[in-house]
Amino acid sequence: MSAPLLSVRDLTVEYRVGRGRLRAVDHIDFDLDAGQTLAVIGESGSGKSTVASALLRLVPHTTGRIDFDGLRWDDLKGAALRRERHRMQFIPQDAGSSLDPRWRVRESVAEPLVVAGTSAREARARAGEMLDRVGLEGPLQERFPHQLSGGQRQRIAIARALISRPRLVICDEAVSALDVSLQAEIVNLLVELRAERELTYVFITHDIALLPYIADRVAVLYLGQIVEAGPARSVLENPQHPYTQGLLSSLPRAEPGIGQARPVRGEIPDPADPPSGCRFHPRCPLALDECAVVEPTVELVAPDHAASCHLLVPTGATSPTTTDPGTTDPGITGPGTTGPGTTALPTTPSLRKARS
Amino acid sequence: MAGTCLTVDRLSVVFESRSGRHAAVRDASFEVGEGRMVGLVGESGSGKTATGLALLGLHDPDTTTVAGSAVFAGTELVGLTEPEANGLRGSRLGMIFQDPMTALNPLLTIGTQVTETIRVHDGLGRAAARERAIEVLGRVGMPDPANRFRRYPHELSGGLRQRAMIAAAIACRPRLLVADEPTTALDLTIQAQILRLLRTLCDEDGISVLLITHDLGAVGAVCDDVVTMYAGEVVEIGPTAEVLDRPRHPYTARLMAARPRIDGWDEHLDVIPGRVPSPSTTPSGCLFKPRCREAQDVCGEPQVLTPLLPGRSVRCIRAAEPAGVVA
Repeated sequence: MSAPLLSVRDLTVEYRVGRGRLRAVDHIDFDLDAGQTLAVIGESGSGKSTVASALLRLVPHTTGRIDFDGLRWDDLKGAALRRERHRMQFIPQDAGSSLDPRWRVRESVAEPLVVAGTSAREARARAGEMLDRVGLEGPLQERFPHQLSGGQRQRIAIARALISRPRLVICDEAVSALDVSLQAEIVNLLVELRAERELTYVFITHDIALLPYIADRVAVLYLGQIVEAGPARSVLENPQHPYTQGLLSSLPRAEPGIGQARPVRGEIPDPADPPSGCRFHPRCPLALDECAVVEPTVELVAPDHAASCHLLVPTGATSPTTTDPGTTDPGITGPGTTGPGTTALPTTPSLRKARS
Repeated sequence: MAGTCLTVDRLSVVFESRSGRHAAVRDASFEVGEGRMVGLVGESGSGKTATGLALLGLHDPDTTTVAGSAVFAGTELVGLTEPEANGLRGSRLGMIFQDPMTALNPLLTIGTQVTETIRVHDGLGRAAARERAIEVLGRVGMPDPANRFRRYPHELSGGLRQRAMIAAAIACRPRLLVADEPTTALDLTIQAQILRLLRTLCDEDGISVLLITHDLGAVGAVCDDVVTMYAGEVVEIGPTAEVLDRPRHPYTARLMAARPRIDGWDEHLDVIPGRVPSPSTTPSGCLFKPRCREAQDVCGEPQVLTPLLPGRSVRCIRAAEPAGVVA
């Protein structure tokens, strides 16, 4: 079996905040095979974008090792890093703000090639071809970014990321700001390009409903830690961590009558001051006493599918006692509330199975 | 069905600019029933936000012409003077927007902002207004309201800022709340909480809500009725379950099909080809025709919003055909 294209071990990223340190990414591990797409999901403040920045070597990491495309990626520095950067590219949420407003679109797309030493003429020709491929043709290529729509700017960002023939592309909320029909167009384009150019994606999104269309694997991030990871279908159809379950039930369904069974209550705590024990315990409807004290370990719940939750440890020694939601829950004032009385285990048969 | 809170009748909003006249809203007609939540949906450029701003009297009078009628609780909103509109907004007519940072004053604590609203509109004294403000902050799910009362907007998370804006909007017990994309910028988890809060305010406090959103999921989760807009026109109206389950207008149907589904394994996202026509287009016939799979020659003729059943209207030639023919 060949080695994964990207292998991350024990990655930690800390930011200095005042006199303290904020651990935005906390000892995470994952592998990603060539041609696959890893979706990284979680709320704002979960560390999704910091993972992207660390992979792109835009922020220093405190611990860990990144092996990428046969290189010891985390060790590259200076000129060597600049030389290899083309292997990993980035598509941001707001392409408009990442383009130089004074440059015509085609110049912006050609720039990475020029920087890498291609002649200006050839770079322009290749930029034109690349823009044709992403659906921005003819006179549109000679326009300035402000003359284009959000969907068109997103196509430019894709062209600019792919022009240097990367192996891996990190899409950070790349379709989140678009209308539903445009979003569909861009996702379909990304999927086509993945096959055509043998790309591998890290797809960061808060829009979980897109996952079936693009993701092979999912990592659920909460306060800098991966709380659940596995094959996309396994994680979404059979979520094991209460946080993943909550995220999924927060998803509004257009199909009337399907309520929001158990959305996550409260808000993500300050990452500079994370809760003790399991970081999710203050918001968890199933929390046990030990959850506030002991950090859960990673449990394999299905082939290749793991989650960190005390309820998944097959001891069965402790009984569930719910925390008081009244003190931690700003959101729930009306009916449809999931109070402590309705958080019994039968609503999560998968957890119960794992305990016995 | 209970009474009507808002009746919009042939509302039009036209922007004038150097490049000509741009019709953002074209003869839109719909109702918001008393104590109901109505979702106003459509893509960017559909005219949903222009409709909301015109109802609130927040359009720019120098460049925008609003015509037609919108009667809210016995008051005609179109043509109100600025002081009259000001008197309504924040009291009987509440409003919340996508970005609380731009709607809230960054220099004032959220308590001051909610208290101001109460003092201006209800004429309460300082102490009574403060008490009421704390009560309202608690009502919208602000944790520890007495403490948060003294906080500035930048000290709160996005979700709590949105709650603060809702508190200011409902402090004077409005009859109608116009909510323009109130959850779009929020995390999924907080979106669900805010939508549930709006539903609760509607159910328990009898506040009617006009929820302007591009998210059909949000509408399906909380709204009683749906109004679909396309290129400034209302194209479909009906109860949420009816419209989302059995859309009669091809545009609503295509919007539903383009939505990603959490169980959409092995599926391809459906794309609506083409773009929303420019507001400077002069319509001849159905505006959706160039993008419609089911278009016929007759679609080149002007289409009218046709009632099918009470509370159910569609602007499509095929809607008049027997049910089941329209996919």
